[in-house]
Amino acid sequence: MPEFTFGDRELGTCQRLVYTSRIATASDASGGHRVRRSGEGADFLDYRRYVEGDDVRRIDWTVFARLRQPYIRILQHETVLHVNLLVDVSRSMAAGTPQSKAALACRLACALAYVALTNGDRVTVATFADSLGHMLANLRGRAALTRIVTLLKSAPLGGTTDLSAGISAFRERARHRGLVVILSDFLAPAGYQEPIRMLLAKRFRVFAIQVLDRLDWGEGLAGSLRLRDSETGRTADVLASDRYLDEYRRRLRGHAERVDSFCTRRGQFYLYANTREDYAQLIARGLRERGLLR
Amino acid sequence: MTLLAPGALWWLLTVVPVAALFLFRRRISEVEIPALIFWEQTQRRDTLGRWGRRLRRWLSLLVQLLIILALVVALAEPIDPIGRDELIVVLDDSATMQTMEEDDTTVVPASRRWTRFDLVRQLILDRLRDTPTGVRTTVILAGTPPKIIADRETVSQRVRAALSKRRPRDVNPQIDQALEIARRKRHNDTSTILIISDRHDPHLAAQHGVEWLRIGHDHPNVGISAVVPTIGEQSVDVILNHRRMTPATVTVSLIVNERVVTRTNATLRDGPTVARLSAALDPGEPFLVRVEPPDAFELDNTAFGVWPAPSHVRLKLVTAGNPFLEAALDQPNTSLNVIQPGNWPGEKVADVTILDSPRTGPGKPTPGRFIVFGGSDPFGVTRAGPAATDLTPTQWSADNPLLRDVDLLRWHIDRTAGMLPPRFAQCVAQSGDVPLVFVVRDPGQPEDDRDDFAAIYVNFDLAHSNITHRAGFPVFLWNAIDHLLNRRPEDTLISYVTGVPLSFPPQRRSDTRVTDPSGRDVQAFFDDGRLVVPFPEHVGFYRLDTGGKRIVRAVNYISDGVRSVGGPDEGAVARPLPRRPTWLATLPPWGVLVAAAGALLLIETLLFHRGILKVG
Repeated sequence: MPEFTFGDRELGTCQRLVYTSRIATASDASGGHRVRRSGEGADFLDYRRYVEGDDVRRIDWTVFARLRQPYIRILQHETVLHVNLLVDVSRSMAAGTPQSKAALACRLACALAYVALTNGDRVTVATFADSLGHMLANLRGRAALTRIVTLLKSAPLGGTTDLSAGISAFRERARHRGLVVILSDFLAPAGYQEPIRMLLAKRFRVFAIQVLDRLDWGEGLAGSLRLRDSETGRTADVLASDRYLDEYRRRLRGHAERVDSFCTRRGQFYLYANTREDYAQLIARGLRERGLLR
Repeated sequence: MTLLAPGALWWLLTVVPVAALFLFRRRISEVEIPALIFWEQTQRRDTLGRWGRRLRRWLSLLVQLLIILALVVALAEPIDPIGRDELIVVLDDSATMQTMEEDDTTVVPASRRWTRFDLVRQLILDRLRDTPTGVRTTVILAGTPPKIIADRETVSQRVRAALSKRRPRDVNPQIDQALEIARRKRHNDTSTILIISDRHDPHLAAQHGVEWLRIGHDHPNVGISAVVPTIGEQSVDVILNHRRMTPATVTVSLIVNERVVTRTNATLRDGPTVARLSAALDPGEPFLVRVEPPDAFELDNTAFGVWPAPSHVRLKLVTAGNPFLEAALDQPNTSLNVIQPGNWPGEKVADVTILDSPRTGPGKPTPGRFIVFGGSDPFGVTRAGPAATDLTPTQWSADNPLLRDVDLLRWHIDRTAGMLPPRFAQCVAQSGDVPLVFVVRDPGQPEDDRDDFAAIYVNFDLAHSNITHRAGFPVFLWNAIDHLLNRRPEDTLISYVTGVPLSFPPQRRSDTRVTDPSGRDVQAFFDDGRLVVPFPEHVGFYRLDTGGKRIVRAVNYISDGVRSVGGPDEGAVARPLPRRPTWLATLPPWGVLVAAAGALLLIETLLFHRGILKVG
């Protein structure tokens, strides 16, 4: 179980933060996020030319009579944001100093949930490892934060990282489109591309937060070592020389860059988080500068 | 290999904690990592098997131990002057090795000042302490004369015992001769001969198989190079030489029986400085001359002397008139009586009679000493022979005292006197078969019996030769007088020099005893009736006691260097006694530890992090 705290200090960091409209998606429920949507909603925003495929019922006939050109009214709809937090609680997330990767992931998840709950958005929290774990869906109100913290603290750390299994199960159970935040180390042998593609296909916005520790980077390792995989128990004898470590780090850095580019090329978000980073700085640097929060 | 600082071997104990730490460290670390995926993908994997890793591990330990060993050996200052089984040391025990050195080494405690010889001896003794039994050790002292105090000795204790008793001699070194002896003593041609001296001879040092260890500092020095009695006055001139001496003014004292008789101040200038000391001393009285303040080399701050006894000679010259002879014989402390040939032999007694072209005489040998120049033999000792003309000397005895400082090559004789020497005569110079100078002495009588007959015959008239015009004529004449009177020039010396034979006047008695300045008996040999100490080694007064009679000779040290007056030659002493030749010498023990740890860390970093070796 990840041991972490989420108290007044963490809450103070999240005060007055809101999600930006970039990540908001149209929803039937009304909320605080304005979403442009043709023909629906209460507030007029603008006109635009009719293109094939538009619903003919949205054509403004008054304008057509005057201009002999079909135009459609664009209305602004204020919708609610669904924030889905998927926290990796596999065995590999247990490592880390001064805090474990799972702890940092949980703290970030709580922060994102708190921002959403204080702004009236809906929050779904789920843990996953080799399958989808516990899940709290469609939470509202600040009081739900306690349930979220309790859920994350009680989630057992174990199993292998299987993004495909976890995300597939989540996608089947998700009832609302919205933002999916994946907090994981993305050290999954089965890969990460296909699960994210599946989410995008369902018109989810994806925010990948890759949490790594100094041990992932091979820091503090030297000499002839027997490395044991924390998830599978497999071992490998390596000679951790400078040259060897450099090559290993180059590979890991390439992996992180590939995750980043995979997300950003698709208009999604990516954030690298290190367990040594200060929590407040991570919120400010990662989430605000990347346009997720404001 | 010999170690200059064998105590550093104690540092070898550091291998114990290093090895223990190595052995008790976990052999292979098992680390749980989050995921193995990228570790496995990395190409450079440790493909060594179990035995490979074990071998690498022990290789690592071996490297560490070798590093420690190298450090310790470096601290122990190994030198290899000796080969594996032979140690040959040429040790300079000459006078300048008595120079006091400030102790800037760690060979000896700093509680007192040590001479260079003390330092070197201690160095060799330390080295011998660690020399294993069986190593052939030869130690040759390079003073005058060279001495072998250990000849291929295999028991180091004996060498140490022989060396411990030595002290430097007040002589000049003969390193070249000592080196030659060392070469002959060398059993193995590949063995190196170690020469330890405060001097330096680049020619010898450059020779194959020679290692020259030069020691000592360069010190300012003032010294007495000579003490010369002034003729006709009761005074001596003291000649001082100095080098970089401060202060520039010194006090020169004349001391008799440990009492200062007179003293004067002398201001040192470039080149020799002369200080005159006047005093009324009795003939044969020993005295000292001392220069103050003393310097690092005190040996030449004191000179010893014996006030010369006046040597009065009575001469009788029988001649019809020869200004050259009269001028040559008219010398101080000499009474010359010139008589006509018709008045000889007269009543007046003379030590030596010089007969210039005599025509008549007693016809038989008469008691006395004579020098006969040409004419006819007045004593009837020689035989008559044919006269030879136009001669130059062709054979002569160069070491004969008659010919000392005389150049016979320029002699020319127009006509000889036709004398043939008797059977028992000693021919000194001749031209072909023609004798020119010969000595006739009754072979049955001792040399110093003045009641007997002795004569030197010069087989030509002075008027028939050019020798009176030669500068060496008075020298030859006085050589002949001294020879007949059995006088030696050294008998008139105020002092002798160490390393040069010291002679006492002829002694009849056999119960003679010669002692050196410290009162110890020294060996003396009879040579031509005189008692000779072949190599006086120490400065001071040598005494000959024979039947209640005592004769004193003073011996001083005179440097063979021109400028140094017994002190070290300028530039000859370049560095102090080497103790630790490397910068490690300056490290305190904790510094050595830090250096050792740093070296281990460095080697671990270089080898291990480069993936060459793994430690632990």
